[in-house]
Amino acid sequence: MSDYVIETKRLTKNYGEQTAVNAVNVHVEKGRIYGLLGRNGAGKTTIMKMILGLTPITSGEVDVFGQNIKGREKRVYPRIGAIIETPGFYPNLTGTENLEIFARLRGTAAPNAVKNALDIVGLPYRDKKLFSKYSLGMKQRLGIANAILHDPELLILDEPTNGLDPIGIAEVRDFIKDLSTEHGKTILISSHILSEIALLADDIGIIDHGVLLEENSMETLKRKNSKYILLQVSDIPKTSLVLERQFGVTDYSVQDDHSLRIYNTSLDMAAVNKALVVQDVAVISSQLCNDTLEDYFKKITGGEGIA
Amino acid sequence: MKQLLWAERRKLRHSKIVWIAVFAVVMIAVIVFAEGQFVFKGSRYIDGAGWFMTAAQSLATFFVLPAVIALLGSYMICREEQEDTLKSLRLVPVDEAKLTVAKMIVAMVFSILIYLLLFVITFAVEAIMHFGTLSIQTVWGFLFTYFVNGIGVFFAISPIVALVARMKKGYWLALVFAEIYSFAGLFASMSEILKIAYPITAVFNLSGYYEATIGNKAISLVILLLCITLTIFILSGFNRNSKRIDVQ
Ligand SMILES: Nc1ncnc2c1ncn2[C@@H]1O[C@H](COP(=O)(O)OP(=O)(O)OP(=O)(O)O)[C@@H](O)[C@H]1O
Ligand SMILES: [Mg+2]
Repeated sequence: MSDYVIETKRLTKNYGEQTAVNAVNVHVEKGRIYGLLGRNGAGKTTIMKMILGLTPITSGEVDVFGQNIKGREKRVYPRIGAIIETPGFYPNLTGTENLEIFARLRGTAAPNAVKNALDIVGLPYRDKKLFSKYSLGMKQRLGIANAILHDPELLILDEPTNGLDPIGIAEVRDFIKDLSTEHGKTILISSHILSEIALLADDIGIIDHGVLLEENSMETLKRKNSKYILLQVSDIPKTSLVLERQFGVTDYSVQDDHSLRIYNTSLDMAAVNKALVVQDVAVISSQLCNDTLEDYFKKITGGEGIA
Repeated sequence: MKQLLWAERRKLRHSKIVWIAVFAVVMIAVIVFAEGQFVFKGSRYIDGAGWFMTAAQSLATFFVLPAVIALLGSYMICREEQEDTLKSLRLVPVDEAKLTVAKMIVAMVFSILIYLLLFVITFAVEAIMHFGTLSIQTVWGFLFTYFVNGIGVFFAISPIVALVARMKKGYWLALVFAEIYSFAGLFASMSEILKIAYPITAVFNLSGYYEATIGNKAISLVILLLCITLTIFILSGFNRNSKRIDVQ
């Protein structure tokens, strides 16, 4: 038994000739925030729709709570809260009236569920303003309120901060973080903004042109992209030996035949160079690097980068 | 189902279309009242007890209410897709077939209520003008006519609602189609045979506005039941299709 709340297996979606999602394997662990990062049109929304069963799957599989969702919607949906793209509400009703409808249809038991949800997203309860008069940010907030209305275990949020101002984004980020850490919710969130995901996610999946390029924990990614010394040498095995035996360095990674990264940046490089020369290893170059996540994404998405 | 019916009613709050319908009813009453001022054989039409109630429901049915009811019905169905709420409903989850049934029920109740509103207005005017001459029996008769008109008109226009919902070209089309359809009833009423078979005039056969034999009534009833069967047929195809179509 895996502890994945969501697991997809070679999930694929074709729209006619175009492959919008291509053999994607996403693993969302219980109690963690999983950020799906990708540029416009990368396929984030399509993946989420397929996970939720809102659009047919071309091939592959989706497991939610360890099982296929199809045919079990009645039991599974109450455990999920979701916003996909822009939230759809009735324009002729107020925010409160809209939520009351969904609360009732869901059979939400808690009497003040609507008020609580509105409080959390910072919208007024029993306000007279109709949904059609809402600003983009208010609409988005109401969408989030609807997603958390029934206190679901799993949240699937497609660009939830879309249209919010910086303060609003920070607020939403805080309570999403809070939902995860304080209430143990599992959250799958998508965004095209790297910094957003970097601040929020525990795990990250990078998607580009329908392909999941990388899936990793944020920790690993950050480490990969923190400060390091890039050492280019003629002989990697000998260098490893020198580093480990003479300097006790274990925190390094081999990049290719001639370069490796040392993550301990306080290492005395002059001494290292000397030791290498003694061992007949030519040091081609040694430099301190400081890759940002941004650079990293540029690299793995093939130079186009990410907003 | 109870929740769905409640929700459907709730969704119509502050809705313009409901006010359009109420306005239409009031306008019908005003227009027919104005018509009643014409003098025929020395007395005004409106002075004949029961004339106002008779004329109002007939004019309403040929010219106005079928279109209004069809508009509301298809609005209720089409809006879920246009306003992108279908997506949210699916995630509840809501059974789309049940949802459509709930909408049709609410539309029928609306149809009945709108006819009853017209009844209340016309009855009030009649009661003021002809308090002495209006028998309880006549009033009950009219109440029956209006009530059956409400149900019958809904049955008659229901295929239009279903068709427009399926076409997905905008619910205003229902207004146009239903208007042509009900107006054509005027011509149908000129032929003894068409009068029985044409859905709009078939309603009058059943509601007692037209004199009709039991046999004719039975035919009219069958016609209206065929209408609703057709509706169910169209809608069930629609629901089956939409399951396959992506939610955008
Ligand atoms: N209903 C559809 N019919 C045809 N193509 C579609 C449909 N929905 C999405 N696509 C295509 O699939 C690809 C992925 O779209 P998707 O909406 O999943 O991207 P996204 O990552 O959510 O983008 P964004 O950041 O702009 O929301 C796009 O190229 C899009 O044009
Ligand atoms: Mg999207």
